[in-house]
Amino acid sequence: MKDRIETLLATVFGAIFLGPVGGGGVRDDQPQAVQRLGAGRRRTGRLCAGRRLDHRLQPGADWGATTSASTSSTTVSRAACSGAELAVIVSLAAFGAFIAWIAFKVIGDTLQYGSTAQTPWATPLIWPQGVWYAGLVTFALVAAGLRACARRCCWRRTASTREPRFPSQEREGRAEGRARRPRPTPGRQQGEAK
Amino acid sequence: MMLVGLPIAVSMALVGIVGGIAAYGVPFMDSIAPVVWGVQNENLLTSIPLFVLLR
Repeated sequence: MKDRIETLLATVFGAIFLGPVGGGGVRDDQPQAVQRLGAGRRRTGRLCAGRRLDHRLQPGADWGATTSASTSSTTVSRAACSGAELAVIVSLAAFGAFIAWIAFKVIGDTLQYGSTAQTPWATPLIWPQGVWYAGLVTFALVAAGLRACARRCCWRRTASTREPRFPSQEREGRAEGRARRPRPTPGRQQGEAK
Repeated sequence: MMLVGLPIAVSMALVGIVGGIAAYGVPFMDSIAPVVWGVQNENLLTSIPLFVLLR
């Protein structure tokens, strides 16, 4: 019974935590689900290599790769990659805007009542709260800028007629093209020279 | 949310906000900002990230 519980816990929590963390730690004696997740992690790790925000997307890419059993796993994992990345960035931007909007009420109340700290110096609370609010606004602006960059990248990919490729794949494609290009033989070079 | 890649702090905050609104309704939103300010203004809790930055 104890072994069963341990196996069940190892399967559940191993699949949740060990899979996205990395495939390097997957051993042969681990449950099959963990091994599958590790394999997916290794596969999508190569796919997403070279992406600017790939570290954010590895978990989503893992699920996309492991849930697709067909030969189109590459496309599915790439779609999951992009979808998860976009969802995270939009959520982060929405959260930043929400916190900035909520925090402005505190600033408004402080300005309205002229609140001061309950200390002998009676420091006006707008000073520390101004710094605090500036930090929150900076966070919201950075998150919004990140979202704008992500949307621009999505539009660029949509407008492009060819299949979206990662920078690493672009480099590999260029390298393959150079390798396939016929090298000029010395005889042909002499013929061209004539 | 964490598995998708959302930062842990944001995930926890979103769960707390959604749960609070579900439990107490819209008036809960008025208490979010004072709580955030109160926590971030606490000296004991502020020392934790500063200690991490020390390393």
